[in-house]
Amino acid sequence: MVELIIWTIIKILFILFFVTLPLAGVLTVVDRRESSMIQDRIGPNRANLSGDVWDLSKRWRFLGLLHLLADGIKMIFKEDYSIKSGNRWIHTFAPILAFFPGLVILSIIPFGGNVTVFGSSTNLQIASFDSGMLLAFAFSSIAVYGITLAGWSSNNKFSLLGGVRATSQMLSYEVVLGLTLMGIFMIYGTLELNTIVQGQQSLKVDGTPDLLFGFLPKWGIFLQPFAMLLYVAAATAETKRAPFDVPEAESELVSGFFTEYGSMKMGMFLFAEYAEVVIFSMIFTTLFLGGYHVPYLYDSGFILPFGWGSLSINPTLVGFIQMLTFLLKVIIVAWGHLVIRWTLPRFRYDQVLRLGWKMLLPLALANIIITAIVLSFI
Amino acid sequence: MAKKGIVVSKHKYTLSEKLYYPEILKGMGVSIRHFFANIVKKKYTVTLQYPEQKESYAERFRGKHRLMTREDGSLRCVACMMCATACPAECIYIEAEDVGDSLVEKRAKVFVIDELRCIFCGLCVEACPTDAIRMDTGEHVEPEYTREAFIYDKKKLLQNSGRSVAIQGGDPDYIHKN
Ligand code: SF4
Ligand code: SF4
Repeated sequence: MVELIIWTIIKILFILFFVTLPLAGVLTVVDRRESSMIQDRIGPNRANLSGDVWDLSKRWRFLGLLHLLADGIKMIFKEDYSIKSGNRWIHTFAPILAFFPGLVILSIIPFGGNVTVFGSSTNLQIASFDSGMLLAFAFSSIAVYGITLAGWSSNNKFSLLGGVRATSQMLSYEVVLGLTLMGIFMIYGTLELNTIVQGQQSLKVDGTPDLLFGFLPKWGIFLQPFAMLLYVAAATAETKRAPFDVPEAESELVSGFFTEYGSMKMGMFLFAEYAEVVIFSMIFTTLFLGGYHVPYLYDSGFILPFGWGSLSINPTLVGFIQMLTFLLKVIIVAWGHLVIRWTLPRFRYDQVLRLGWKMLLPLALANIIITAIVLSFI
Repeated sequence: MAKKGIVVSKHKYTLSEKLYYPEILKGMGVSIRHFFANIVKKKYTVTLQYPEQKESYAERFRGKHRLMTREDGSLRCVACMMCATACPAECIYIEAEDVGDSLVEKRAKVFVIDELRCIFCGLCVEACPTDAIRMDTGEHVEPEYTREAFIYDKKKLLQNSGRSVAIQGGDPDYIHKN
């Protein structure tokens, strides 16, 4: 029991303070620099630690990552403006509601295989529920309340419009989001994420590899490519980033639902957005990219397809390799997500809803039916 | 008579455009190409790291004023007030004083230009008969923290000063005659 509690605390601290929050923070800067690289600019690169003031090459700039610190300090020391009209309590509470529920989703994500440290072994997943993904759906829909309440309590037309748009967009895409994943749940027969990852590991009961066409691991992306495309669209809409950033829509609504926010409260909304990107990447990796699974690496070591040989590795080492693989995949997915943001222009509001209800929803339903038919024949 | 209209043909979407995803992937391809080309070699980047790297202005750019000096280092200005008269913004203030030289007669005791009022028209430069005032420093007026700092006095105007080779009075044989 004590062992379990200690492990859980370690895992929570690790995934929260060593993975998600730093990654989300770094993403705020990476987003800006990546966008500038895509747009042929250089981007923020001035924040520096002492060094020579006039010679750029002699300053310690760390690729502009120090802007993260500079931004944080700026946000904290700005005036914490609280509105005179509107509902002040809800106005203060909304950023919290937008930020924290998302973090709960981290508890169900398996970020590594089984590791053994000092003779005590554990699965690198904070909580293993049978209802797994349902918890993720539940908590990601709570985040909608944060946005809506922020828009409503600000007593500002722009905020209200942003809040209303966010509500209708996120509610409609939540439906699609759930339905697209139904195929995955049917194939792996569970909602529990660690079991899904183990299903993607493609191991038969007797411990021999069970690969698609003899060489492809059974990852979600290969079994449900269509659902993957729909999921990316729906999940991008859930994170409210371009091309689905109508709730924020700088060019129409000033800043959408957080127009009336300043200092760290606004910082929380911005940070929540990046935390959502990280969480989206984690769920995407887990469901479609085999989670922490390295192709051909099993608990006992590598077993290459076509009988090309095998290599046995210490199981604990395998656990750590898998953890790093998971982080690497998450970083790559998050990067790709940012590329999508900086590539596509914003949909019009009616287009967003039309895409959601008239295209993605029927396609998701068709995907479920086809998957069900195919599964019943196998 | 019926008005003749222009028939605008509507863009016909191809299948891959209707499906979104192929086009999105193509767009992402462009983004990614630019990303890697710029991150590795700054291939397309045109940004100038401003305070360290500067783009030089055109040769005839009218920038910060400067006052020129003679061979002996004294101010060329003879306080004739031509520039102050020509200035449409009325931002030049000159106080004259006697030199005690029959040829030059006067010089500027105080010479002040308010760079905030100046519209950089260059008329002062054109008006000056002695090539004493110029705007060829090649830099603009720098930003300052106070308004007072923009009021340039003689000292500030002489900072970028140089010796002008034109000979005062316009007579090339002036020195030899005396
Ligand atoms: S440039 Fe024009 S406005 Fe400025 S001082 Fe000369 S004459 Fe006046
Ligand atoms: S700067 Fe030239 S025009 Fe102006 S007062 Fe001096 S000599 Fe005359």
